Amino acid sequence: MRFVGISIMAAAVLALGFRYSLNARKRIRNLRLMQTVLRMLKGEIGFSGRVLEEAFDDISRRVEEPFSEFFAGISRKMQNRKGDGLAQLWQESEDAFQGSGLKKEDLELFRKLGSELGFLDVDMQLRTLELLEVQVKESVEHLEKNCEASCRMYQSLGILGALTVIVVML
Amino acid sequence: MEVALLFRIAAVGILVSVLCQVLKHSGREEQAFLTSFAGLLLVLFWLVPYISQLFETIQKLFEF
Repeated sequence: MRFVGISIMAAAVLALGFRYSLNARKRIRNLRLMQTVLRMLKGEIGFSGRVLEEAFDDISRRVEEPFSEFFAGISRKMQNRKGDGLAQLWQESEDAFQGSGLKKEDLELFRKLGSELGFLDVDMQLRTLELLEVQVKESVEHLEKNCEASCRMYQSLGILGALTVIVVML
Repeated sequence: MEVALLFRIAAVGILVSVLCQVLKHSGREEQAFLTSFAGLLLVLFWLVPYISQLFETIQKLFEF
């Protein structure tokens, strides 16, 4: 019974290490997806001239999870509750990013978009999108540089942590 | 003192030093320090009963 407990704890620590490593990769993937979404929004607002509700609906069909779920949710909420501001709906729909690997600072960056879309003129909205795109690009570049090292570090920490648990508990 | 304890302390020492190296190479000096500190505390926790036993033995040695 004791050995079963020890192996479960060791497996949990090992899994934690691998999960962190996976999350680091997921974060980069989702930030790249965010870049794509920003580009799409730029196209929808600047060239197609569509209303945000339609633009969000269209984007939700063209991008992958978690952004597809997020934009589908926000578009649905915009159709149902016309009175609420976009910033509030944006914040309410952020549940879609749970387990996406995106950190608080990434979500805050994305939230900025929600608070600035919809009431500014087209030119200002495009400039906001451009600024956000640059910021996201910078963080992607920074993360990509360190990704391999940090993934390896999380995995090694998981393995060593599991070994430590075994040694301490035996 | 059991020999198993010595092996256990050695294993913790090796693991903690490798963990510290990994963390230091990733630029996380603070976590590396905390890890080595935790390792030290763990080993001290294991050794405290033996240290107290040693003091008691010495005390008995000088009692008349």
